[in-house]
Amino acid sequence: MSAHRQPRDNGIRFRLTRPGWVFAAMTVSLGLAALRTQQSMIFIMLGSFLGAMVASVWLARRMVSGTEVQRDVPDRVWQNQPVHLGYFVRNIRRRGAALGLGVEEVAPKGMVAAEGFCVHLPPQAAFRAGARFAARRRGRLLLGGVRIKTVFPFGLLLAGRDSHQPREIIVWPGRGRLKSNLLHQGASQTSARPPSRSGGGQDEFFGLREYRQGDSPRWIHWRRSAGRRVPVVREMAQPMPDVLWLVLDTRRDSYDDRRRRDMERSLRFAATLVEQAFARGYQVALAMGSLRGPVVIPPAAGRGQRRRVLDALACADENTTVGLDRILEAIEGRRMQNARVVVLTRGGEPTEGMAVLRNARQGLTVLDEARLEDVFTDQTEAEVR
Amino acid sequence: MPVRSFTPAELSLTERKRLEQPLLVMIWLGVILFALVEARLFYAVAGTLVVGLNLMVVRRGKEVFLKRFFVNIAVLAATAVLLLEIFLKGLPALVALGHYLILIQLCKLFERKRNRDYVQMIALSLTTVVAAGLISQELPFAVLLVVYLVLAARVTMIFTLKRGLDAAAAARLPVEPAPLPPDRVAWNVIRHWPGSALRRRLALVLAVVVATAVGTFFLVPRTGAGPALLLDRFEVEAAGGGIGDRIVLGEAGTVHLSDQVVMTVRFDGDSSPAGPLYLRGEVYERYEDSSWSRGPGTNRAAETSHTDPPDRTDRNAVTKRVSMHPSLLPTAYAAYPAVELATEGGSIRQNTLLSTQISTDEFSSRPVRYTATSWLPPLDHAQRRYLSEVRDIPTERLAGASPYVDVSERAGDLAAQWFRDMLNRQDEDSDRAVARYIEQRLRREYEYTLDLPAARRGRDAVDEFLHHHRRGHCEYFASAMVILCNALDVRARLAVGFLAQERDERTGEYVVRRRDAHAWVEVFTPETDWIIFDPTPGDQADAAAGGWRRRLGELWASMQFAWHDRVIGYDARTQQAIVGRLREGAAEAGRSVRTAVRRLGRSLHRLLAEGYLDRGAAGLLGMLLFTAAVLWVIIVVRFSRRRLWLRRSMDDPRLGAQYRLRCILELIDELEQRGLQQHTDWTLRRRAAEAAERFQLPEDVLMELVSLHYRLRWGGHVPDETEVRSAELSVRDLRRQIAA
Repeated sequence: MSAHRQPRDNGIRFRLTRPGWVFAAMTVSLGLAALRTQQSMIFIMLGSFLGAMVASVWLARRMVSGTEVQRDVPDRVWQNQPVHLGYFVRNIRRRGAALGLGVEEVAPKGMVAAEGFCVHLPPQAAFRAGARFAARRRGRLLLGGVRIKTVFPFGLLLAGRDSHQPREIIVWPGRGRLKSNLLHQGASQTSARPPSRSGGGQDEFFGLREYRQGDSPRWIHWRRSAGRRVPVVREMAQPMPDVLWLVLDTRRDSYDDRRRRDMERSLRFAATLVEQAFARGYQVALAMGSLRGPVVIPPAAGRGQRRRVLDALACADENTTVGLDRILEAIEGRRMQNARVVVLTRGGEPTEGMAVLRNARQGLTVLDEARLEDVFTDQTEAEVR
Repeated sequence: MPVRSFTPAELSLTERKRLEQPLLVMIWLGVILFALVEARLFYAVAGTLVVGLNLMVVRRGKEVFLKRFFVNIAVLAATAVLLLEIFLKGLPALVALGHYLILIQLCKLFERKRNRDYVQMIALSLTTVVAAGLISQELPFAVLLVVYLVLAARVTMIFTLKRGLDAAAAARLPVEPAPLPPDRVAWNVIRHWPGSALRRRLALVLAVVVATAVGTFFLVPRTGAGPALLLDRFEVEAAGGGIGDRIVLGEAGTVHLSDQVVMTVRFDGDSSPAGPLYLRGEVYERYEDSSWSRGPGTNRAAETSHTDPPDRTDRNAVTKRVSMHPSLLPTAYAAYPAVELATEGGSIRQNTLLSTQISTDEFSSRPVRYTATSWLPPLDHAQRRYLSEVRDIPTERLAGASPYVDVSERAGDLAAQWFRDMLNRQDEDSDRAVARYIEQRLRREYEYTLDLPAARRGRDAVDEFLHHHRRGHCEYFASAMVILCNALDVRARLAVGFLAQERDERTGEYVVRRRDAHAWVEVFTPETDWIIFDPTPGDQADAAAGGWRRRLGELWASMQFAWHDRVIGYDARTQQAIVGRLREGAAEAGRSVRTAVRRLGRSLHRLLAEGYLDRGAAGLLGMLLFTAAVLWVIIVVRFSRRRLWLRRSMDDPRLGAQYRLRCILELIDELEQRGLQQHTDWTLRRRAAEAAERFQLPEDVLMELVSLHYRLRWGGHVPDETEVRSAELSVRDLRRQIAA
């Protein structure tokens, strides 16, 4: 098989639609009447009805087998959020347009989809049929294949052909709304230091100080130095990058529906917070537990980091082993310096690691999973369901 | 989305005109079909008014509808009408059901329609037409049925597309607050309304439907005649058809002649006689009080399904196959007295005048078919003796004037006068010569007309014709001749039937219309038995002549008879006959092929052994040369078409680029041939990545090529010359690397 051709005729399936069943019943009745009465006019009508069925099969088969389809879908999507995707359908026949083509995902699990539709596809032409879907579960979603189908010309028969196009997409936990501002703005650290050599506009004026040995004469503030014996130089402050450390305690002794629901809500909160942090330019770090051990993603900014963090949240498993202490142990303490730390715990007695953390950190926010609704509005029940 | 005007594509999502106008016409046609079949004006008028109103509203882009409650009340009322018609008026259930379906359709036209309602309306209309098809088999119905089916196919195709569009427009995910706005949906599903593509697909579908219908019609095994249809208008006509026991002359009025085809006659073999064909139905021997009736003793009839003369000869026998309109029953028509007669599904009664009657078990619209064998004159002695035996009357008793013909005094005087005139002109005075003289004189001196004056009270109609009016139609001419002959002691009688003059030269088939009804004279002589004389002047043919309207009418009448004869009358016997003919044809073809092969073998043998090129070998060589020439032409044409396509492709920038950049796919194919894994579910991009890793090729170059291919193939990208040239060079470099 050549590289540019899909298998054309891998099992076209036909199924009678509801009007098709009615039509078939009428055809059978006409056949019985024709055999009973032997009237030629009834035979003619029977032939016409059979002809309509034959034409339906033949035309639908021809259209479905002569059409290629390619899926164009993003590889990361948000849970419970409509995703627009495109199906490139192409009529490879030299003659004969395809009409009324529908494109849908084959047996999609964990997603709801609105199928794509193409009214008219001339010969040798391509069309991007728009469709959309919403993933109902976070995690890895496997799209098996694409089904191209049609009920043209008479709506009596549904002809469909599956095109095997496996594709894995990662569904990030859905986003809700934060009620309180957990990310305080302007937490830049200042340092008494001269303007950095690289410049770049990140430095801000902090104050004046006396000239020291080694300072560049270019930093001298000449106007203020005019009445002094010792010249003064400008002292600049370099804003430290905003860093968010998000620590999630995902361990459960066992999982039932309620606990799973709580965990999902925690993950949606985390995703919401992370997304907000990235939107505000934070460097985001994530620490959470999994069956394989603690997962620690060191702070960084940018698109790649966003993917890493949200992918980790999307792929969070049902952790029963790694608790908060082990997570905190895995984080090197110094990494958390100058960072905003948000810890989401399961409540109860504070652990040893938490106590240490409370003592060491002042910009620490500890949230209780049971009281998460105080700071977070989750998606509606309908959306979650 | 930028501000813009709506495209037709977007409008088609909400526009109902495309579907509703043809749908309304289709419903109207269905109603009219049923009303025509049943001949009820009320439903035709009601359907026309309601559909017309709806059409007007749709054309103006408005929507008028009643609340569903009122529509349901109307449907209930229609149900009451159905019950009343069945139980009180005693209408057949099928007819009442048709009325019910029509009423429901008309009610539903006034409700706000969803797609489900459209499905119901199409189904109701189709069911109405099927019900009409169970009632009627007429050709006009069949023609309208074809139109209806074409329209129904188109409506259903449009509706199928509309349903898809509606589904796309109404699709809403559970996480969405509302469906997408129609303009966004439109961009995703349609560019423009596919009017011409729909028409082409419709033509294709109709071709398939017609082929299947024809195949089903001819190939489904038939078992024999079934019960008659519910309402058969032919049956109604048949009740008043045929030739009566009496012919009454002297009534005033204009005779109207119809173009309706009532019979076709085809002679077996080459025995077709030249010239007009007298198809006799009845003969009348008794004339009194201006009316003709059959003679005494003619009711002594033997019922048989097959008469077989014991000593017939085939010397001058002709066999004809007759398809006759059932309205002519029970009379069977034959050219010359039928001595052998066979029919399908009925019995034959033949009286002593050799007039034949067919009685069938059932009336239907199918033509009656029978086969009649007659002897062409002159008859030999054995044939005359056989006929005499059948008549049960000695030949001697047939000599002289008939005792049953009442000849008036004035007619006798006229006959004597004409006989004297004849003797003044010629010496021969045989019966035949007398009859010939009277025939010619009537033709010459009397006028043919269909507009008959009334005979005066108390006067004999033939006397009035001979002495007073001197004009009339064939019955008057024939009656006058019979009376004049009998006045001169020449045995003559009146024969009634059809004079077939319309002959298809290609098939040798005579087509007989109602207007060909005719009366003539049979004169008896012992030497010739009964022979035919026709005293009616030739103006009859002129009266039948007419303009293009008449010709169209004749064509339509012929089509109607052919429809009933060939289509409606297609039954098990016809099917078996066709199968038999096909088998015979196949066997004949097989024999011919075997003979030809044998001859060819001999020719080849002679050619190889003796070097003698005879006619067979030359033919074979010619055939081979011809085949080679045809193949060569096919190859040249295909090659030229390919060249032409290529040239056109090169003219089109996109197609040209596609053609030139096929080298990218060829590169991937080459890589696969060199061991690259072949996975049908891998995308081209993934194959390229795999190839780059396996063959140590520059991945970025490969990806760039694949990307160009995708953009060209799927994205509608039209690359410029530089881009194409660069891609070609890249492919060439990559090939070199692979080869190295």
